[in-house]
Amino acid sequence: MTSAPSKLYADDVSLLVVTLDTNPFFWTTFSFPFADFLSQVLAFLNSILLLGQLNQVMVIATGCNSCRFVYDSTSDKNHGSTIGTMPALYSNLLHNLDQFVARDRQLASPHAPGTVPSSLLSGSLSMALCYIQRAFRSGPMPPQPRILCLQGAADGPEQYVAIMNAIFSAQHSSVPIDSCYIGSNNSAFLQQASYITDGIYYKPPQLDGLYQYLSTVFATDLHSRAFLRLPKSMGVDFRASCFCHKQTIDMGYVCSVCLSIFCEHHDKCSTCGSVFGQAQLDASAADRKRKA
Amino acid sequence: MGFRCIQCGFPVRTLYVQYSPGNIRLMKCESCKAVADEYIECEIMVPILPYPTGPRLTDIFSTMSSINKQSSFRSLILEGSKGKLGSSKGFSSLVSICWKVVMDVFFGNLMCNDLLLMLMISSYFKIFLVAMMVWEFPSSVIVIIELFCLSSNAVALKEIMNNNAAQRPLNGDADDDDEDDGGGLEAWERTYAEDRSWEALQEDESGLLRPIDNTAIYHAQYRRRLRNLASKAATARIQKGLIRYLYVVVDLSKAASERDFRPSRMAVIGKQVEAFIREFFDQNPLSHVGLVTIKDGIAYCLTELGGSPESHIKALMGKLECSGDASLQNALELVLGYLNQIPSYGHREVLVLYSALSTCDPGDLMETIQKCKKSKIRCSVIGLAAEMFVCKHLCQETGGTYSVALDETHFRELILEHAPPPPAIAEYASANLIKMGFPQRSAEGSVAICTCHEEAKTGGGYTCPRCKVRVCELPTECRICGLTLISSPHLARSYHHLFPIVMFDEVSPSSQNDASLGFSNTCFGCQQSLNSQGNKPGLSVICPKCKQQFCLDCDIYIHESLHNCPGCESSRHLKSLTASQ
Repeated sequence: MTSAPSKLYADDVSLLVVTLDTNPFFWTTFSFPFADFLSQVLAFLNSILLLGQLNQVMVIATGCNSCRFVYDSTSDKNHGSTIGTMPALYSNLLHNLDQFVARDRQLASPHAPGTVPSSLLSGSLSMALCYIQRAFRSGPMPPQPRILCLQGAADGPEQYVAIMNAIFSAQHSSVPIDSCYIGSNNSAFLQQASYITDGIYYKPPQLDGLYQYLSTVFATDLHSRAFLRLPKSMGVDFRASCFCHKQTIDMGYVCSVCLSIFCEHHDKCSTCGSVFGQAQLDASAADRKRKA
Repeated sequence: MGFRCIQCGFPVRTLYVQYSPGNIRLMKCESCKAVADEYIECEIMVPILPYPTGPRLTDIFSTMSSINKQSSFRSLILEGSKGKLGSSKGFSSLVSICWKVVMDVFFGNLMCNDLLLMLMISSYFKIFLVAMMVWEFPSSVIVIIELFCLSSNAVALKEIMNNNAAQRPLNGDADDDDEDDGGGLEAWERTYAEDRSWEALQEDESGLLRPIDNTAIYHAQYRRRLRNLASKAATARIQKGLIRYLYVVVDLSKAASERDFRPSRMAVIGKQVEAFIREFFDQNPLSHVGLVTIKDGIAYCLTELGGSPESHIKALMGKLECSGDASLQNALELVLGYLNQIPSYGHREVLVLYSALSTCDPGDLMETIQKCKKSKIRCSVIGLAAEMFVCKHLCQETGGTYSVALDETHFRELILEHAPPPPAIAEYASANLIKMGFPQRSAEGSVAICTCHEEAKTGGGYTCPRCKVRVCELPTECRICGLTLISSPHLARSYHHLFPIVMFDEVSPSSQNDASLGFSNTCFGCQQSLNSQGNKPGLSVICPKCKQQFCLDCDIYIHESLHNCPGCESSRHLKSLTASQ
């Protein structure tokens, strides 16, 4: 952690915004059941609240068709009223989550069978950042915020620009994005998010012990992180993929108007329609000038 | 102890022989045949002197009588105490100083009585001369006493001069005084007067003081700005010049030391240019900035076009001194020379921060403006003093903007307006495909020599894909093969300029109460209740696409920093719609 927050934060008080992937298409095809996942996450959230009396936890459900706040530890509703034997946290969160999943299903749009549609990570990240801005506005000593993405479904390439926008905004306000990726392959989006915002990216090798991973890696506040040896990023691939063949490339051509990336020379930009008349000519002229 | 002749120092037995009271005869020296001491007749003091050493006596006498002449010494020392001590003075300057002091005395600038009194009192050391005569000190003591005396004279004179200087304005015209001192306020009063902090308070119905709630005003200003930008984008082709080559010209002429901006124009410019450069590279990672300063009528290139904000800021902060006149033409000619070399796809821009009210040019400025126009350089000027025709003409001709800052916050606003890429004018830069490299981060443990610092470094660098040399940071240009090296996030940082989010519509408080519209009365972004105090609904905005409601703070955050609508992003239905469009 090299981030030096310029803002003054309340001592040791964390605001943890968790985005929870509830994509039904992912969980039905995944080997680890959602119920087990949720029970471990709930225990983790509870331990965050127990670690500090003033800690705050927000949970945003990332669905396949919508996103919503499902739990707010500061709201009055979550204290006192307990239904039956369950503590308030569980009952409220589970109740809201139930409602959310049902609503999400209603909104479902048809998709190609056999593929897993991506979750709307860009939406939940945007909502989390809006909420964190509210926390910044709340007073002279806001709690120190961070975002934890519990993501399972694969990246949706159509969200690339939106997720990058959210990442840069988080970097600008020095909010680290931690990510715990449950799915089978590494998520390039979350790797970049954690790398750029100085957060931690971790992919637990064994999901049975998820709580242990969460509590040892993600539970500590930002100040204590400096003293821990947390998992290092394995090296993030910042190479771009070209728009024409979707190949990862080392060297390529970039349109000066719309910044589209191509792996070979074209006469016309397929994205913005600009015509590259004198591209080669100018490039060689520039090269010659440089040599001279 | 015997007497000696004052002419040759030969011992004489006696100086005179007294025949009767008042009738004496002087004795002659045996060696030189002259009168041994001729002064013995004219001195009253002679009888009490133990031995009449003539030359010494005259010496003492001359010092005693020099009280009248001493003003010359005094003025010499006074000039020395004013800071010229140690500088050798010619005889003529000494005379002129004497003359000055004498004239001062005569014309009443210095009060005669005061001066004489001061001289008398401060020359109290002279008393020791008497003691000296009595106790037969060596002659060098005279010099010491003279020194003491002069120094005490000097101190006294300085004191009296200071008093005079302090008193004169009091006696003089008091009107001038008032104008200089900002209405006769004390320094501590002035700091508060400038803040006008009492204007930020208002009295509520119960008589308590509360800060004025100016979020609504602030938000209205912000929306006006946004609307301006949106209309501009609509009229021009929605293309942005994303690859910019910008020269910031900083005017460091005499005018930059004016103190109408606190602490001075120059300091304000330095501070805001630093903020601007950081913001500029944040928004335009593929662009380049260079710094030019104007000083003494000459333009200097402080930094060449480059992509590292730190090096520019460091160079500017080291050179914040101003002198001489400003020359707009020299600056433009210099920048013109540099910008003509950049590749054709780049957008050439100049941002002039001009403090002076004049330009001191070697030739015809209008010709240079036409040259800039021909080279398609977009020149913008931010003035710190007043509007100037030539700046306005320059901006009009080259398609830039001209504005004059009212105060520091306004200046900051104006300069940061230049950070987002301007709408591109199609013929200004030709579309091109630029060859770029996307280097991979080298493994943590590997050791290589980087080309930027020419040092061996362990890990943490990038390798140019074409010539395989190590560079320390991105974006940059490979020093060996000239390939532009970037990473995909740098490109992504610019995408939001290409896909701006729509402006949100304002919701009137009356329609908000309408239950039929189904507003949840909480902001979709931050979950804050949109009902402000009491049950009165506060102002809110609504996204025209996803119909979600947002509070004003979120509205500003979403448009200024996030560049995503959380509502649209969290709805797959809308996303697929926008994608198909």
